[in-house]
Formats: sequence, C-alpha cells, structure tokens
Amino acid sequence: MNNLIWKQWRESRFHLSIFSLWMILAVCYSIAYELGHQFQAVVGSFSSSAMLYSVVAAIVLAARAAVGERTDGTLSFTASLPISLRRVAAVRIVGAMVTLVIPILIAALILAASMVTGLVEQAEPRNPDAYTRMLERPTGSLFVSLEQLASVTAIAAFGGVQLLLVLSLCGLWLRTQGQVGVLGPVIALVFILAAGVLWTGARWPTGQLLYGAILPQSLVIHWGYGEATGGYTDHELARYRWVALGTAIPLLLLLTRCFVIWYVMPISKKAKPIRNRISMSSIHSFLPMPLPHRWVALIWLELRQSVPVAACGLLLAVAITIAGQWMEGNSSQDFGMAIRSGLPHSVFFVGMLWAVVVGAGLFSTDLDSRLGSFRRTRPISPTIWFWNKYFVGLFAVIATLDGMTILVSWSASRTSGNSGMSYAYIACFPIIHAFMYSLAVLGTCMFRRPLIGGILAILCYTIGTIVVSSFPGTMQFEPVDIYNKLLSTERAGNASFARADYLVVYGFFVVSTIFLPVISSRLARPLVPVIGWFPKFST
Amino acid sequence: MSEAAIVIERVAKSFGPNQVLQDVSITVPAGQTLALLGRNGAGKTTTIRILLGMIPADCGVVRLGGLDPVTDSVKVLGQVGYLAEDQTMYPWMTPIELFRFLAPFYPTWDMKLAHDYLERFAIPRHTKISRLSKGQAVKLGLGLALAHRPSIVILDDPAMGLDPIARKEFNRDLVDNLQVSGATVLYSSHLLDEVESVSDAVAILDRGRIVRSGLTESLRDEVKQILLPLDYARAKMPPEGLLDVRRHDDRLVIIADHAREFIEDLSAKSIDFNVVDLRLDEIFEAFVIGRTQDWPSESASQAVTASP
Repeated sequence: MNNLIWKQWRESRFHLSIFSLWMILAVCYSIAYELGHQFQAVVGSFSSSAMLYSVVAAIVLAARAAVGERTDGTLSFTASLPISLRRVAAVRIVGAMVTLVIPILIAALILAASMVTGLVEQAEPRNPDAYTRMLERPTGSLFVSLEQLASVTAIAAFGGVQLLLVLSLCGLWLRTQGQVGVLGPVIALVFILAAGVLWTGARWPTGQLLYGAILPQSLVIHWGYGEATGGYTDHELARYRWVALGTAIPLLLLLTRCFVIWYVMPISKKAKPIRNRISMSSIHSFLPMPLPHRWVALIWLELRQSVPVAACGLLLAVAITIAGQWMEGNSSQDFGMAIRSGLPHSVFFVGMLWAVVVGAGLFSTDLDSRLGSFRRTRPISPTIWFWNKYFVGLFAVIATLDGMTILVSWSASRTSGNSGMSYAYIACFPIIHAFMYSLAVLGTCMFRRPLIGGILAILCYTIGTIVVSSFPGTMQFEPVDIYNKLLSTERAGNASFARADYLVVYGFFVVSTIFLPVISSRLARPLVPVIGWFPKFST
Repeated sequence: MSEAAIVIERVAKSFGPNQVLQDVSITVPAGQTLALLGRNGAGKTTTIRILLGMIPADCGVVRLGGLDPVTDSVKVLGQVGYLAEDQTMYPWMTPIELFRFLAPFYPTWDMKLAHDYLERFAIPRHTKISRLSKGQAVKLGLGLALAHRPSIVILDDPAMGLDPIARKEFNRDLVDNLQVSGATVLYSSHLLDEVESVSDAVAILDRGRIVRSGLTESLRDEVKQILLPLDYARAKMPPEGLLDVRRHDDRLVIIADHAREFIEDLSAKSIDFNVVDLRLDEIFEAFVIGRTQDWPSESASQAVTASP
C-alpha cells in the first residue's frame, strides 16, 4: 500500500505544485486587491477563484484518474501485479481528491492568517431580505468572517471533489483524456447552471439543504458588482450549508465506491456495446465524391473533423436554452420563439467554451506522435496544412455557432434586455469566439495536449478579464461589458460601433486572431514539441 | 543500379546528451533493396525520420532521388512510399475515403492500382480504419505506400506487432509487389527472416553507427564461421575481422569478417579446420552481440573489435 501511495505521489506532485501555485497566486491577488480597494469582499473574491480552480482541477485530475493508465498503456502492467486493482483505483481517486483539495486549503489558510492578523477584513454576510451594497455594510466580526471563509472553502472543495468523481466515473466509459476534457466543461457548465436554480426568487432553506447535499456548488452564489473605483464579488451562503455538506459525504463516498468497482471492469466490456449500437459504416464512403485538388482534399478533411464538433456545441447551446426557458416558465410567448430569442445568450458563453474545444481537438489529433507522423510523411506542405486547418476550423466555429444562431434568431423577438439577435452580438461574439479558438490553437501547438491547451486558453481569457475589470482605469475595456453597452445603445436606437473601447478591445482580438496563429504555426512544425513536459522520442 | 537513389553521408544526430547517430553513411543505388538492420534503439527510426525530413540531422548530407528532404520535403515525399512501424491512419475514414483524400497529393497516384491492392489484400472498402484488424491495417498501409508507384519505398519495421503467420503473409505480399514495382527500397527491421528474402544489400546499425554494409551475397561470402583446433589458435594472433569466439571442447568456433585470407592461411598450413556458411541472422548476431575476449592466447586477449 505504501508503494502505491508513493507511486501516486510521484504521479501527482507536478499537478499538486502547479495547482498550489495557482491558488497561492489567486489568494495573494485577492488580498492585494482588497488592500488596494478596501471593499471588504475578500471572501467572495477567494470563493469565486476557488470555484473556478476546482472546476479546472477536477477536469484535469479526472482525465488522469480515469483514463491515465489506459492512455499511458500501463493498465495491463498494473493489472499483472499482485495488487488488487480496486486498491489501485482507490489510491488513484483518493490521490486525485487530495491533489484537488490541498491547494484550496493552503490558500484558505493564507487568507485566514491575513484575517486573523487584521491585514484584511470582510463585511457582514449579505442579507437576502434587505440587500445593501458591500461598502454600506459594517465589518463582520473575525469569527463570522472566518466561518464565511470556512464555508466557501468547504463548498469549493466538496464541489470540486463531486465534479471530479462524476467526471472520473464518466471517464471510465471513454477512451482518451481528450474526451474527458471535452465532457468536463459540459458537465461543469450544467452543474453551474443547475447550481443557480434555487437562488432565483424567494429563498427556500430546506430545499437548498436537500439540493446542496446533491450539488454542493449550489450552497453559495456569487454576484459581481461594479463601483466607480473597481469591481467586487459579493457572495451569499445557504442557511443550512454545513448540514448539507454533511449529508453530501455519503453521496461522495458512494461515487468513490462506484469508481473503485467500475475501474476494474475492462474497457471492452464498458465501451464496446455502446459503440456497436451507435456506429454505422460511413455514409460518405459510399458517395462517389472525388476530391480533384489537394486544396479541396484538405478542406474536406478539416470540415469533416471540425463541423461535427462545432455542431455539438450548437446543440449544447440549444439544450441549455431549452432548459433555461423551461425553468423560467416563460408563458408570454410561444416556446419556439422563446428559444430562438434566448439562443444568442447561450451561444455567447457556450461558444467561448466550444471554440476552445474545436481549436484544441482539431489540432491535437494531427500533432500527436502517431497520426502526426502519418501526416508528416505525406507530400503535404506544413504551411498549407496549418493555415488551411486554422481557417477551416475558424470558419466551422463562426459559421456553425454564430452563423446558425444569427440565422435562427434574427427574426426572433427582442423583448428583454439581452434577448434576440442584435448587431452588437454580430460585432462582438464571433470575434471573441475566434479569439478563444486562436488561443486554444496556440496552447495545443505549444504543449501538444488538447486538455492543457484548452485550459490555458480559458485561463488566459479569464485572468485577462479579471485583471482588466479590477482597476478603475481599465474597467471600461471588459469585453462583455462593452457588448452590454453596445446592446443597450442599439436597443435605445442610437448604436455606434466607433466607440474607442470597442475598437481597442475587439481590434486587439482581431489582430490576435491573425497573429497568434503565426506563432502557433512555428510551434507546430517540429515533430516533438518545443515546449513540453514529457517529450518522447524513440530511435 | 548505378545511380544512387538514397544517399546518407556522415550523418549525426543527438537528442540532448544522447548521441543517437554517429557518422552514419549509407548509399542505395536505384532499384536496389537495402535492409537496414539493427536492434531496438539502434537508431533505425531516427535515420528514417531524417531521410524523410521529419527531423533535421545535426550534420551530414541526406538526399532522396537527388533532393534534400528538408528543403524539398513535399517533392521528396511525393516520390516516396513510406510505411511506418505501427502506422496510424485517420481512424474515422474508410480505406476508400483515405485513397480519395491522398490521391490529389500524388501526381502519379493510380486509383485502379489502389483498388487492386484492396482486392488483393482482402481489405473491406467501406469499413472504418479503426475497425480493421492489425493485419488489415498494415496491408492498407502497404497499399497506400505503393499506390502512387513510388520510385523509392521506405519501410520501417512494418510488420512489427503482427503474429508470425500474419507476418509471413505480409512478407509474401511485400515480396510479390516490390519485385513487380522495381523501386528502390530501404527496409528497416530487426526481424531477419523478414528481410533475408527481399534484400539485395544490408547495412547493420549498432548503437548509432553503421558497423557493416554491403551486398547480401558478398556479406555471406565474406563472413564465415570457422572451427579450428584450440592449440593452433593459442599460438596465433586473432584474424583481423574477428567478430565472435566460442570454445567447443578442443575446438575454437569463431566468426570472422573478411575471412578469406584467414581461411587461405589455414589451408596453406594444412590445419584441420571447417568452414560453415552463415544465415543473415547469424551474421547480424555476430556483429551486434559477438564477443572476442575468449580468444585463447594472452597476446590476443587485448581488445579486438569488429572492424567496420
């Protein structure tokens, strides 16, 4: 057992170091920001950082825990050792949980120490019945502030562990870490949307207790507010949060148990029946479709790979819109119209995620050592291959996600503030999606791993917008804020796209979408990555 | 057979501190089949990757069909048929789709020939590549490598991972098709029975160096196993090209390269000796794991290594 733990430690220490560094930097940023602005909102800031971290860490660790041994080819070796595979699975999943939780605890301890020493203070908890701005609230007592901190820490840890377990269980039915990487954000998105359900309207503490036991993330909700001097994050906690977390433990143990039992089951038994049911011979193969020129062949290849993935993103956005409309119970207009009207809002954030999925997925397959070698040994110019792939993938993202949404929603009603299609949408979101796509391509070409490339793209954008919205001088350059301003002026009948903030920010995105791939194309050229953690080379 | 189709001259390659190739030189005349032999990790795949321009050499000259594979990579790859060890192809395509996709990249692509290969190798046309058996996938790879009638064919341990029967079947297909094509072939393998039947020439790569190269027949003529009396050997210096020494009762069993002179010397002295012809795998074994320390005289116990 000690040897298994040692092996797990050797496998996890890199992730543990990176994740700890991430959370330490995040909490240092929260403290520094609080010191600069004195909003007394440091717990909310820490909580939102911890929640974001727990989602990303859960996806990365679940991919390793569930599929790592299969993709590394070490599962058969491990199975041949005189150790129970269930024990191996238990150590893997517990190791992943510990790796996820320790960085949150380290960061919470740093914040607790800065609260105890009086370096930073937290305002009294938000009262849902009589809301007041944070600046108007008195400073909370140290005990209350520490309890708030302990609550958000536990919720982030429990929420992260739950997502990790759910993803790891799903991962047992998948074949690659990349597939877990695609599924992870989808499930996380569903969890985030589901977590907000009981926070609309009047509070229902008993319902939150039961709901929180199943979905620990739902025990806290965050609100972002802007003041003249900068933005801050307020938070509200469910009343029976500790009871709910206590009752969540049996569910987490059950999920852990399921993982341990199913990990032992061979992949052939788990995956093949599903694959056999849904697979059918390629229809395209029977079509007498000649590819007369190499350009046509390359475009056909990339369209075949990118459009189905991008279409999945559109379907996800439609599903989220349907779920949203159903939860809101909007009866003032017909259901179809309501969905067409709400689709642009869903496509905005799903599109940001899915542009990353398409970019990372499209490039990773052709850059891996096996399929990459096949492509490199055919008479295909690397320059033509890269730029064709880049632009076809970009076209697939923009045309499938944004193009289809514009077509579908153009004539939909524009009753509320952000419903329906607008010129502001056309001017902003395709550009953001293209930028996210180019970031994902850069990350994937750099590390040759779609999961790392995708996560880096999302982190770059998230950190960039957090930094921009943190300072009074740069707040106006927050991309979504610019869109909101454009939309409100458009709806007011005096739209102007010559605003300086729009031209600067979206101009930067456009320029980046053109110039980032220049760097990516250079990084994609060598057979082995220029930057990488485990470059392998066989002689 | 005179003009060189493949030229590798004094090529070296390192990955960090690991020197993978040192001063490697190989020349393959047009129409010749050269077997590049080496153990796992000897540097065969690196040599081939350099040949195809996938990685640059640290120094030296590489030419395929007179072209530099780094600066003229697309032209070079257009005239080369390549089949890699455990080759991966787009798993979601069917063989027909893969043919259609690759055809525009090769000016000499022969779709009829490609279909013939599918027929000959009994590969289902409309089954996704991910669902083909390993043997079918290797044969599809061979079809892809030959369907554009390449002037140069490079095979990198193509049958690795196949069971013995599938390997034999693959080799039979390979021999049949390569003999018809008349292409220049560089066939890398560590499975000697695979290459013995097809190779005109052999180059043995060991720990990044070419330790021997030459025509297969002349190699068989020049490398011999000799059984000679132990007492005679004690009084003699070891022959120049000694590769392996073993004692067998009162006889010494040696394998020597360029053995003719030594054999003539034994004959001239009326020594009782026997000469045994060797198979390619025995010659290869002598070059890469032969031991010369057991030569029975003190003077000869000084290091004698295989001469290149």
